[in-house]
Amino acid sequence: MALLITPLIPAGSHAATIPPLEGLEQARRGFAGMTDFIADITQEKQITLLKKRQVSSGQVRFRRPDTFYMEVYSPYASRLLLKDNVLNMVLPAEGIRQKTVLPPEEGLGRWFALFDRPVARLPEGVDIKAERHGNTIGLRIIPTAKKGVKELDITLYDDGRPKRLVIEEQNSDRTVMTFRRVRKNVGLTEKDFRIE
Amino acid sequence: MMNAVKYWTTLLPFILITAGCATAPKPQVPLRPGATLETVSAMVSISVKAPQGSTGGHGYMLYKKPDRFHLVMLTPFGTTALETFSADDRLTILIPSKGTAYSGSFTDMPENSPLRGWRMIKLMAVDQPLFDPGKKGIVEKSGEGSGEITSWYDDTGLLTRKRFATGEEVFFRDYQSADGVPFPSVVEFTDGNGSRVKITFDEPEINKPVEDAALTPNLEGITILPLISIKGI
Repeated sequence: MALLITPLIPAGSHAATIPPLEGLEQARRGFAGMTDFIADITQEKQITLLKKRQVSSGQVRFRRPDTFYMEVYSPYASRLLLKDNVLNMVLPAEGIRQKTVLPPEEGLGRWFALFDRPVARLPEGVDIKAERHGNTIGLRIIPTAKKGVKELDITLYDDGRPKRLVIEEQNSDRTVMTFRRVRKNVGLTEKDFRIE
Repeated sequence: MMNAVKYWTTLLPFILITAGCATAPKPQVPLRPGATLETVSAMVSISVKAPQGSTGGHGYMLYKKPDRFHLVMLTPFGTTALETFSADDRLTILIPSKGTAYSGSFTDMPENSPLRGWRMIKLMAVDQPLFDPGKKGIVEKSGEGSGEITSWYDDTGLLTRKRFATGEEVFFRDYQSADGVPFPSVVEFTDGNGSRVKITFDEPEINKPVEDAALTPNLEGITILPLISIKGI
C-alpha cells in the first residue's frame, strides 16, 4: 500500500524545520521586495465559551512605509485604517467612527523599517520555531508572557506574500485568517486607503 | 522583524470595532406568558455613544440571572480586545494583551470615559416576565422614591421600556421567541445625560446551561488596578 501512496505525495509536501533566525531572515528578505499588497481574506473564529464558529470575509491592503487597511464585510462589517500611529475605525452599521492615536513608538512606519535590516538575533520575550514547506515559510511564535496571545502561526510565500495567520489565545479561542488572491506591488495609491 | 512580531501581538487586541447584524427569519414558537430569562449566550454588536466620544464593536456575551454578565469584545482580527465581567455592583474589565484588569464599583468608572455608559448594562437584568398578556398596553409603576420604576407594555403584553427614578431608561425591541421565551434582539439604554448604549443580539441561545466559571474572571497572573484608573479605551 505504501508503494501505491508514496508516488502520489508531491516531493515538496514535507515540512523541514529550519533554524528560527534563518526563518525570520528568509521571511524578511521576501517581504523586503514588497512595496504594497492587496488580498482577500477569510477569517474563521472559534469561540470556545459559546462553542461556535464565526466566519467572515473581507480585504486587506498594505503600502510602504506605514499604511494598512482592513475591511470586514457584513454581517459584522468594519473598516480599519492604520496610518503610522493614527488608527481610524468605522462601524458602518452602527454609525460609529473612532480615531485613536497610538504612542509614537507603536507607529507602523517605525516597525516596518525593521524589515530593511537583516535579522541579527532572535527577539526577546518570544520562542520561535520555523519551517520550510515547499515555497512557503512557516513561523510559530510563542510569547513567553502568559498574556492575550498564546501562539501566533504565520505562513508566508517566499516572495513575502502572506498565506495564513493563526492566532491562538490564552482563553482557548482561535482565529484563522486565510489570504487569497494576494497581489503584490500593484501600485496602490492614497485613494486605496480611504476609510469613507 | 522580531519587534514587528511583538508589535502585532500587542496591537491586535488593542483594536476594537465592528457591528451590524442580519438575522434570518426563524420559525417562532408562541410566547409563553410568565416565561423568564434565566441565561443568555449570544454574539453581540454594541455601540456606545456618549458626550465624551463614541465606541463600539462586536463580540459575545453570556448572562445568568439575576445580574451576572460576561461580555467579550473582539478586534477586527478576531482576537479578544477586552472582557468585562459584572455581578451585583461590581465591574471587572480585563485587557488580556496587557495582562491588566480594572476592578471596582460601576460608579468608579471615570466621568470622562466613553465606557461610562457601560454601567447601564446592569439595567438589562430583568427579574420580571418580559411577556404578560395581563398587562397589555399598560404603564406600571413599582418601587418608591429613588427606587421607583415605570414599565411600559405594548398592546400584546411585551415589556418595551423601563424608566428608573435615576433618569436611566432601557428599551426592549425586536422581540423573538426562543422556544416560547420572549427575547428582545435589541436592547438600548440611555442615562438622561446623553449616553446611549445599544446592544444587538445575534443567534441567541436562551436558558441553556451557563457555567459559573464562564462568568468569573481568571485573574491569575493579572495585574489588578482600581477601576477609576482606567483610561485610553
